[in-house]
This record gives sequence, structure tokens and C-alpha cells, in this order.
Amino acid sequence: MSGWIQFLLDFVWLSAGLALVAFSLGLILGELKIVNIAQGDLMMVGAYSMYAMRDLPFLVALGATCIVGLLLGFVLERGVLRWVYDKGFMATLLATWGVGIVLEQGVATLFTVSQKGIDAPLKGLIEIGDVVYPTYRVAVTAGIVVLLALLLLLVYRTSIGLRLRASIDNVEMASVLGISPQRTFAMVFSVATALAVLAGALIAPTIAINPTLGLSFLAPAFFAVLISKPGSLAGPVVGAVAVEFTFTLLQAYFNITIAESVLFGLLALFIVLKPQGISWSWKPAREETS
Amino acid sequence: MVPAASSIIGFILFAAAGLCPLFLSEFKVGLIGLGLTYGLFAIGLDLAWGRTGIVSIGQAVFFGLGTYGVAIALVRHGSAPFGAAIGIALAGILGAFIAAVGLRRVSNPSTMAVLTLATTLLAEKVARDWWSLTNGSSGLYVPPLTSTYFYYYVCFVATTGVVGLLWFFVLRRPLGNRLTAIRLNDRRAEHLGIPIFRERVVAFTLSAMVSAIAGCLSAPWMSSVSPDRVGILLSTQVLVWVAVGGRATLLGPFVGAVALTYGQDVLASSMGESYLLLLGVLFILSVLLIPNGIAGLFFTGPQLTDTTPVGGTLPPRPPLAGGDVLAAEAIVKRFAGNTVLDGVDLRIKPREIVCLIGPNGAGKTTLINVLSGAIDCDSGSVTLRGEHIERTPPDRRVAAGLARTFQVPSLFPGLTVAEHLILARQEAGMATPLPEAYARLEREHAGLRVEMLSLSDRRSLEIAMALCSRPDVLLLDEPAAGLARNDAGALAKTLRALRDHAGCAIVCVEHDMEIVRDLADRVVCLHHGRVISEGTMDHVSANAEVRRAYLGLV
Repeated sequence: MSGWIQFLLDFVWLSAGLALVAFSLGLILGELKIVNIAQGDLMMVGAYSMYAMRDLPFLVALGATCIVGLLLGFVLERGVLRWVYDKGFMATLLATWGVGIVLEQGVATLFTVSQKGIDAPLKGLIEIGDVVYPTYRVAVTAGIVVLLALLLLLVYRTSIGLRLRASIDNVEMASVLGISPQRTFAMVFSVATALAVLAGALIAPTIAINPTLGLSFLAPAFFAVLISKPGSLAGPVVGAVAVEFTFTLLQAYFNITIAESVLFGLLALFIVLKPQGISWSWKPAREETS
Repeated sequence: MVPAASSIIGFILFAAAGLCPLFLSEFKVGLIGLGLTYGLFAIGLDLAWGRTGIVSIGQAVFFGLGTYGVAIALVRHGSAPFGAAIGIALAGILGAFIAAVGLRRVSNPSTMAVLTLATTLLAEKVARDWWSLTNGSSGLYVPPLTSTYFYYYVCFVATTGVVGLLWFFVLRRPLGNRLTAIRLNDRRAEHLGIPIFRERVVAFTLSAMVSAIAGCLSAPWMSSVSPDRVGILLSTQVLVWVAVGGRATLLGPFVGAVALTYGQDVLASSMGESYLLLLGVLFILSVLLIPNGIAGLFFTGPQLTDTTPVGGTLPPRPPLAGGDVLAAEAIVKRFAGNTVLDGVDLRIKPREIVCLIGPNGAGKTTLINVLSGAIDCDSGSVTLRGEHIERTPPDRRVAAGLARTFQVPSLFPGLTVAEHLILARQEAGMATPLPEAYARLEREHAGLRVEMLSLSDRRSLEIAMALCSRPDVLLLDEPAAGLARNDAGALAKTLRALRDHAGCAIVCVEHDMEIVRDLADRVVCLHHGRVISEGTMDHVSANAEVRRAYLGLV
């Protein structure tokens, strides 16, 4: 029994973080049509931002980190990405890769490569059933669930969300209707960056902080996006839960490398069967008209 | 021909690489030797990315398989060539597998990005964990070389040999042209008869194996082979070498790899870790400022090899069994529950010209797409000369005698008129002569890039390419759209002459009723995904339902 509760708690905690990253990744892929390889490095920036402000109250540091994320996203979009939109898929991918290297090495230069750590603001433990679990993780999980719920409501139930989805579906058509692509791109990338940075900041107290920490989140987050329908924003969240569930389950039986190999094999199988991803909704899948 | 400047630069660099051991210290020769193997690694990546346009951001996996193959053999006192063969074979198998999963017709490019990225991340972990084979993080200690100079020349000859084989047996062959075509416009390539899935898998597999050969050659240059040989950092670096050096050239990847390997050694000793920061900035700048890399600044020559077959004749297609050359029956196609084609029947006789008319949204273009194989229908059958083709991919339909054009002309950006026809004739397997109207385009504008052509000439070029395959049925999607008045007026005459010359049937979507009246042997009117009337122009235009459909009366 306690084994199952432990499994569920771990799974919920891990999938909350992954869902936030995957949502951000799906937002960028959907709106800007960019595969953002720097996603993991954005998380890493969030963790280091929390480390740099470790002497401030946690929530103040968290707020400041979100602002850092918004600014970083804005600078990256205006400074680098907007110059490569018209140069094709590979150019945008390489540009984000370059951004990732610069972020990683910039942080390594500023903070050195030695591992850092910060304390969680909530040090207590709570008992759930007969399992003792860190209060911080439970609180963060709840926070992320609320945040994602609000984001999805924003996307699917408000006029801002409608404009965003219109722009994702057909950016040219949306621009004719008065939804400026430049402004939407800059806004979406800033917000998505801030979300990735926030995810990094939130998990920072639970991991060893180093310049390459983002790498381990990159592959699962991409898996989550890949198995959902292109352009869907709820899809990556559901995808993240599915990926994390499979991965947590596999890790219960195998060591982590074998678990990752099996996960990768399952993903390959999935892509063979469903090259367009799954539409995680009851509506029939839309197809590309040509 | 290759422009003189780049040939001369290439020859000088080649000679410099061949002679440098005479002038440089042993250490520096070792560095350049490693740079050469990295250059070959980059050539491997370029085969996928630069030539074919396949995203690969985990190329070090293949390189590392070769390196580990040799290193494991050397450590165990086995045969290095045997280890190399295993590594190269594994790289080929893995490459073919990834390509087969990630490069299907309906896949997004992001699929390949994620797959290759995940492979390199995973491979690094496996190399770190598989102690018994790889000795984990500390890596395998490779015995030092007995003679740096001798091994340098082994690398030099092997690298030259592999590149030479690639050049003469892949890049300068029809396959090389196909890869370029796929990179520039995969949809057009497919409708010219190029099997894009197969050729992409071939290109990626070759790319993996060339990278693995480079990995094998590089092993003796290393003091130890550790998991970073298959990892993400090396995968990144090889992208930088190719991007900075120049894609789709022979020199670019070598220039990028040797210069940056050499530079890394010089700079890393003075700058330490921040060298990588510089590399990242350099990379972003090169993507932004010189998208074609250093070699791209010098090399602006033709992109295709002239592979026009000499003579050659089409094997006569078997005589028709029934009366129809093309028949579609009960075609149904839905998009998101919206029924666009709702049980369409269409029969085309040999040498017949049929015009498809109907109001916007009637399903005309969708029908052309279903007939040509651009999209699959949900149900119904399509037969060409009595053979079922409704599940046949577009490239095989071209071979079976079906060619098409697009509503917006779909050509290969950056290629000349002559290069377009080289591709079309290569795929047709013969040097088909064109009817006069199209032959004139070829004579007068052969060296012109298609961006320079007028819309009317671009449409003509697309038809000319379609004609090269000697189709039985030619599908034209609005050939008059956007044409000037007198161009449009001449079109009906040109197309009728074309039918008489080429002997093919024509199915033509057209809105201009004057052209339809001049052109069509038979008119078929679609409305809401159904055929509501067919026959002569007068018959169709007199039909009450047609008039309602066009005038919007209920």
C-alpha cells in the first residue's frame, strides 16, 4: 500500500514539473513553429536565478525570477529568433541551440561549474497515509496544478486565448484579423520563457544545481509534446502526465538508463503508429488541407 | 562546372593538407589529423542536413559508435578493422531505424529533431552505465600511435577515399540530384516521381555510416574514448562546423572542422571554459549573418549534375483493358467531420480533355489531390489503366502515368529552368522532347532561376516537367489562374496542341468559362463534393442545379 502511495506522490510531483515545461515548449512550437532546444537551459537559468537570490525571501526571489524570465524571453525573441523565422525550420532550431550553449557557458562563467544547492522554504514533512513526504513538493505540485489550470482556462475560455489559438492555427489569417504576429510572437516567447524559468526555479531546491541540469528534462518534455497533436496547448500537459507515468512505472522495475531506453523505444513505436500525434480530446482530429 | 575560384581554393587546401606533415611539429600534425577526421564526420552530417535537409541533432551517436568500436577492439587486443566494421554496421542500422521512424511522409520535422536529440542523450547515458564494455565515465584508454606521421597519411588517404566515393557515386549521380530536390521542395519532388521516404532513409543511413567511419579513424588520435564521444556536446560541435564552414559543399565541413579544432586547442589553453561561450556566440552569428557558411560565400555554382539520359524510350504501356484510362469511384474525403468529397465518380477516356468546374469549396482541388495521391481518400477507389492506385504513394502514380501541376506553381527555389528539366528527365528515364511552346521556354530561359520567371512561364515550366514523364493523364489545377488576359486566351489552344502532341488525357480545374468552352471535350460540375452535372459545356450550363450552385439561388 505505502509503495503505491509513494509511487503516486512521486509521479504527481514529477509530472507537475514536466507538464509546466511541456506546456511552455508546446506554446513555443505551436505559435512560433520553433523547436526550442534551449528549453532545458531556460530552466537552468531559473534555478541559478534562485541561487543568486538565495538570501532573499523565497517568494520575492520567485517573483524576481519570473521577471528575469520575461525579460530574457523578450530579449531572445527580439534579439535572435525574429531574425531567423524566415530562414526555415533548421535555422530556428540551430539558433535556439546556439542560445542554449551561450546560456550554459555564460552561467558556467558567472557561477563556475561546481554544483550548487538552495534550501527549500518549507522544510516540513507531511504524512499521507503511511508515507512521509516533503511539504515543499506537495505545495509546489498544488501550485503548478492551479497555475496550469488557470493557463488552460486562459487559453480555452478567454478572448486572449482565442486570439492566441487563432494565431497558432494560421498566423497569416490572424494577422489579417488584426492579431499582430510580431507582438504575439514576442509575448508568447516571453511568457513561455518565464514559465520554463519558473519551472526551473521551483524544482531548484530539490536538485543539485549545475549548468547542464536542463538536459535531463529536455527529452521527456519533447516526448510529451511529440505525442500530442501539433498546435494543441492542452495536449503537452496530458502528454507530460502520460510520459511521466510510463517513466515512473518503468523506473520501479529497471535502472534509470534502461528505463529511458525502454521509454525511447515506446516513443519510437508510438510515432510509427501515430505520426501526427494524438488529439487528447473527444473531437475528431483536424487534418491538414492542402 | 565548378567555378574556378572554389576549385583553386579547394586544390590549395587539399595540397596543404597533404604536405603539412613536412612542415609542422608532430603535435600539430596530430591536431590536423584529428581535424580531418572531424571534417569527414561533418561531411556525414552534411549529407543528411546540408544535402537532403534532414534534421539531425544527435549525429555524434554514429561517430561515437565507430570510435567505441575501434577503441573496444584495441583495448581487448582484437582486430581494429573488425571493431570498425561492427561500429559502422551498427551506425547504419541505427540510422536506418531512426530515419524509418521519423521521416515518414506525414511526419513533422520536429519528430526527427526530438528523435535524434533523444538518441544522443540516451547514448551518453548508456555509455556511462555500461561499465563492462565502455569502462564508464573514465573511458577506454587507447594505446598511443607508433607513428603520428604514418597514421596522418592513413587518415588523409581514407578521408579522401570516402569523400571521393561519395562524390562520384552519390552526389554526382541521380541520387545526389534527388537529395537536392527533396531538400528544396519535397512535395514537388514526390510528384516528379521521386520516392522521398526511401531516398531520405538512404541518405540518413549513409550519413550515419560516413560519420561512423570518421569515428573509427578518430579513435587512435584520442588518448581516451569516453561517453562524450556519443554525447550532445560533440553533436553540437559538428553542427557548428557544418554551419560555419558551409552546407552542401565539400570544402565547407572540412574548413569548419579543421579551423575550429585547431582554434579550440589554441584558444582553450588561453581562455579555458569560456571558449565554448565564444563558440556559441560564433554559431548564433553565423546562423544570422552567413546562413550559407564560409564556403557559401565563394561557391555559387549549379546545384545539380546533368544526368539527362541519352535517348532512351519509354517502354510502351500495356494497351487499355477497359475504355477508361483513369476512373474514380465513390470517392469520399472528410476533413474534421466536414465532408469535402461525398461519393464522387469520374471517368476519363484516353486523350480526353475534361474540365472540372464548380463554385469555390466544391472539392475540385481536393479531388485532384486524391487522384494524384497528395492525400488519401477515406473511401472509394481510383484506378489508372485498370490498376487500383488509391493507396499508392504519389511517386509511384507518376511512374504509372499520372502527372500533375499545382494551383500555385510548385518549383525548386534557386534552381534554373534547365535544372528543373534535368530533374524531370532524370526521373522519366529519357530525354523527352517537348512541344514547341514549352521547348521555347527551355531554349530562351535555360539559365534563369525560377524566381525570375513570370507566373505564366512558371506554370509552363511545371507543365513541361509533368510532360517529361510522358503521362497518360495530366492533372492541371487552375492553369489560367492569375494569367494575363491574352496568356489565358492562348492557353486553351496550347493545351489542345499539347494533348495532340503528347497523346495524354487532361483533367483540368478551371474557373474561366471561356477557356472551359474552348478547351473541354467534356465538363464535370462539382458542388458540395458531388458531381451535379456532366456533359458538353452547353448541356452543363443549361442545367438548373448548376445555375443554382453558381448563382447561389435555392
